[in-house]
Amino acid sequence: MSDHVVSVEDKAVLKKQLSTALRLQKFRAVLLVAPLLLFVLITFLVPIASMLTRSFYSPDFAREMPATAATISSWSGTDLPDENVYAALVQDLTSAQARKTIGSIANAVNMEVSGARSLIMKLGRNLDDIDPPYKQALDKLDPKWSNSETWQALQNLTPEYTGRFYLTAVDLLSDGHAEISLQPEDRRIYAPLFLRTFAIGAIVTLICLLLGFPVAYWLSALPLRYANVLMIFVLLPFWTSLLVRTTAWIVLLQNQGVINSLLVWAGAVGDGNRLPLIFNSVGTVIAMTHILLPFMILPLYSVMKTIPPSYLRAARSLGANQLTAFVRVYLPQTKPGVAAGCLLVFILSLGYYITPALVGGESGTLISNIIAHHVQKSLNWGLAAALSALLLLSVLILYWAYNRLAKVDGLKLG
Amino acid sequence: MSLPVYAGPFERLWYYLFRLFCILVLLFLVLPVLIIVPLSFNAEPYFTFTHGMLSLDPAAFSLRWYRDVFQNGMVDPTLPFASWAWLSDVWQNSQWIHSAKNSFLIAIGATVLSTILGTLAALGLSQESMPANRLITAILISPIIVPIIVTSASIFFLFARIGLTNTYLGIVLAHTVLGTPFVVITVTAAMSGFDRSLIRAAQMLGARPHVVFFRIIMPLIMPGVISGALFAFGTSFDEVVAVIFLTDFEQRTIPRQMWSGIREQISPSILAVASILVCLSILLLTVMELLRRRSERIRGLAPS
Amino acid sequence: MADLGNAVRQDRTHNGAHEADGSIVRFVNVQKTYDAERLIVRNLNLDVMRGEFLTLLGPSGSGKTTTLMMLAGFEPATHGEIILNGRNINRLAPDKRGIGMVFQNYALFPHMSVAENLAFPLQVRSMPKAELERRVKSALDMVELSALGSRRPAQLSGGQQQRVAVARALVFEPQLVLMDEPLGALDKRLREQMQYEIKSLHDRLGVTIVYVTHDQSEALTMSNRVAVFNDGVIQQLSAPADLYEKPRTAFVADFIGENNSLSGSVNGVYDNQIVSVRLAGGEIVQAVSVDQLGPGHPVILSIRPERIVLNPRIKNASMPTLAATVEDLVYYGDHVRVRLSIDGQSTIVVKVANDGHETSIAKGDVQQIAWRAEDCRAFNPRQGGGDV
Repeated sequence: MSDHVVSVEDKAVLKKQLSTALRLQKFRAVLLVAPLLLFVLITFLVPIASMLTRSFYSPDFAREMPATAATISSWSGTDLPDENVYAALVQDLTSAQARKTIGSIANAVNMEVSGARSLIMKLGRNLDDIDPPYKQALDKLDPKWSNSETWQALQNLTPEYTGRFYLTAVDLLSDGHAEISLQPEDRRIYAPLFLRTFAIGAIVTLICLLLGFPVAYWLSALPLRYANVLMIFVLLPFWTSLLVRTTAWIVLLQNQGVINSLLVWAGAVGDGNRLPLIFNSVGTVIAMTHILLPFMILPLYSVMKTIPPSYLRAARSLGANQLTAFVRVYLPQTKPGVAAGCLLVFILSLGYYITPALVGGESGTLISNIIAHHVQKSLNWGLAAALSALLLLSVLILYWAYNRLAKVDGLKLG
Repeated sequence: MSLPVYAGPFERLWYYLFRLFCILVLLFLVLPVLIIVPLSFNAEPYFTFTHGMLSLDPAAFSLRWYRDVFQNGMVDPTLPFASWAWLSDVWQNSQWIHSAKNSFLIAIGATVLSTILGTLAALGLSQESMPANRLITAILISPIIVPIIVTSASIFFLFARIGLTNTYLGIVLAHTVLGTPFVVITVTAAMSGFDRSLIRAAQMLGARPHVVFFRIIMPLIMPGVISGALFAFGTSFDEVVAVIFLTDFEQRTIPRQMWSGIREQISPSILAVASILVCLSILLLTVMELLRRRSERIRGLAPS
Repeated sequence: MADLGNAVRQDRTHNGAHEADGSIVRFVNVQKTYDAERLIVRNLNLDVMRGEFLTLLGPSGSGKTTTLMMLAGFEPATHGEIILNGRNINRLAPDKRGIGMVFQNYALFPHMSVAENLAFPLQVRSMPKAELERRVKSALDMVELSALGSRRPAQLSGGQQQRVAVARALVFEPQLVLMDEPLGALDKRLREQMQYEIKSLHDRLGVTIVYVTHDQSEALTMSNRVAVFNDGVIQQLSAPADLYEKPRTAFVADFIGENNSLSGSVNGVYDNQIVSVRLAGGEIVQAVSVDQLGPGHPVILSIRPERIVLNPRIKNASMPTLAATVEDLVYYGDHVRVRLSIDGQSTIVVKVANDGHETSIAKGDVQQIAWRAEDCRAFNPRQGGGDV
């Protein structure tokens, strides 16, 4: 049987031919994928990466205030800084005034210490009247300059690479000298918001599972003719605009809305104390459940459709009653669908913005809303980036889990 | 799963309760969407059914909010209804018509781009020789998964730098990113159900590669391409966060205008717009269903 | 249908006159490996004769399908030459080979009607419309599906789809048609009917058919010649009757039809290539020596169940008898299958025709069995390789 195996010298040549042919095929496949991959890279991945760098890289302040940055870094932080730091600040602000960038500097400092904006703008207006020694002069101009918190803020802003946005994003406070402490309770904003986002996501996921599982089971057991008709009930909201569905819930849930009117008419609640169903977390949960329920039903249905009824029949013929057969035989087989549906709903709920913004009120806003606020209103882009990075990280971990549990093709399309 | 003859009273009760529960859930899904349609004909500026509406008094119903939708922004609202001058004024100046034109323009642009890019990529991804298949698929799908706020903010920073904010091209590109994953998913699914021996059969019958592609592969994956395109269209048509971040008043779309309408002061004309959109989605759903039947017929399954 | 049939036949005889050696396809020293490690086809030399029905038969993984795919052009040969009509086609694309092919699952285009499927090969050849329609019509007539031209493949039964697939492979009048297990998806009755239809189409049109199957009865009933593949090698290439009557290796004897295998060693060699063999239990029997082995050499004996005589009435020296114990009887209607043990070690199955006489066999009986020497073949057990 010597000719059964390819001879050694032939092997090398053949392997080379084979790999050339394979490379050619690979090249063709890659060529087809390349345009989209490049497009996604340029308009999606690179922008996200570049935004996320803002969360730890902020060179603007040091660039605008070179002298201050150089001198203040050696300040110990215990007492007020030396005269040369004061001089550097005045020098930097004088040149910033000339370049008309003093406003943005004041804004940046204000994000660290509230009230710092007016302090700096005031100094800017009085730069011509100030003479050395600057320490006394500034104190005379505004006693807040003798407050070490102000200088602390300036020192915090100077490093190009910084973790301060991440500290803020998880409600930690740094005094700039390795001491990291929790924000006082009344000033914690972001950690509770993250917790609320996860909690609302979990509640919505759970409700979707409780509502969606029976429906998916029922539809999968019905003859295809009926199941397809009833599927329209699932697909119609799926294909209806998010804004329309949110509008619908505002109309239904508001104080003078359909549900409250119905309850008053039925005598369940008095006209005076209509239920607060909207502009709070209740409204967010109801509207998000409605919007995300199809994303639970569709993967569950597609998994259940593949489970042949013969398993249940076999279990019953082996002596199991209906409940035992269902729990021991059917339920374990739906696991991939349950996992996929839950992860999908949870992932999508973490990133919700529109619905909480419209129906969430004060207690129903989520992390996305505060990110939008920092991008558009407060212009604290470093913090927005840090919050985005944390949100993205949690989503990516879940997506990775999702990919392991369900094939990506199964995603979402009913 | 009809009730077996040996079912006990408890099983009977469970059987009916279970069905009742499922029907209630299905109603929970559709009723909120459908309920705004009758409400949009309310003659009063309320968001609930008036006594007149409940007693089917014709005077309690009106088309005033629909007229409002069309006439808001008209130069001369006193023009006779549905006259040529009225139509042309509405077409050129109505706020909502302007948004609708933008919505369609942007959605069509994004759909064309994402369908082309997504179909090509899916064809490549479904080749056996494609390296790093899973990773690349995951990357191409990720725009669905990444929170829209992160995507929109990131694209905003990029576009602000290169001057693409407040342009039609910018928002079309952003919506293309959001739409391609659907095309990739549906076309990949269509390709995975594709019987490769058909390609060989066509070759044996003498068809050159381009003939094989246009006469065998394309017609058979067309349902997948079209349904991906519809998803991309729907995504763009419904998208509002990227629109908020990347565009100005001039490029506002229907959802964008609804968004500001709801935030500022919600008027029943929003309900009229929403009702029109509900009708559009019913239309879209019908098209999808017809496509599905067609594709099943082609694949040789009995239409169901 | 006569129209198409005559046209093809005339075409064929015309060409055949020019082809001196009479072969349409030649495989010359062809080898194939997918991974540069293991040879799937080992040094294949095979001539396909013009107009013949040649079947490639073998278990899965034996190289038969790979051979067909190399001929179709979907797999390149690693070594050697494939010659079609005197021309090397190793580097010719499948669409330029002009070979018809019927696929395992038919591969009918689901989005085209039956008539469109048939028209496809003619359209890509830019045939004028009138001629095209005439050909499609006569092809539909040929497979008796004239009424179903406008149907989609999905609306046809399995057998009808099969006929469309055959018609499509023939409609552009190729000289050579390949069939890759075309009847595998059909049930038994339909399969037998289609075997008959394909065979009669072949006889009528005179087209050359290379047919791949793992079903030996299909191979025996349809083919002019059968090539039995195992382990990437043609074990035997002969007419169906020779394959059954005169297998050349133990594999072929075992693979084709039912077979009893006994091991022993050569005891003595007579002329006419008859040897006497001593079985494991010491009994002496006679057999045809296939591999020309000397005394003392171990052999495998192979004998068909229907060639063993139970309780021979006439005893003679050329038909030594063996004592065997009846272990089991199974009633089959037209025959009874008797399982016997020799010395309690080897088992042997005998088919006894149900002619109304042999009724006295019972479980536990000791019976005499015998066979004619020419019905039993002795193979070298160590020779697994082929002779091609």
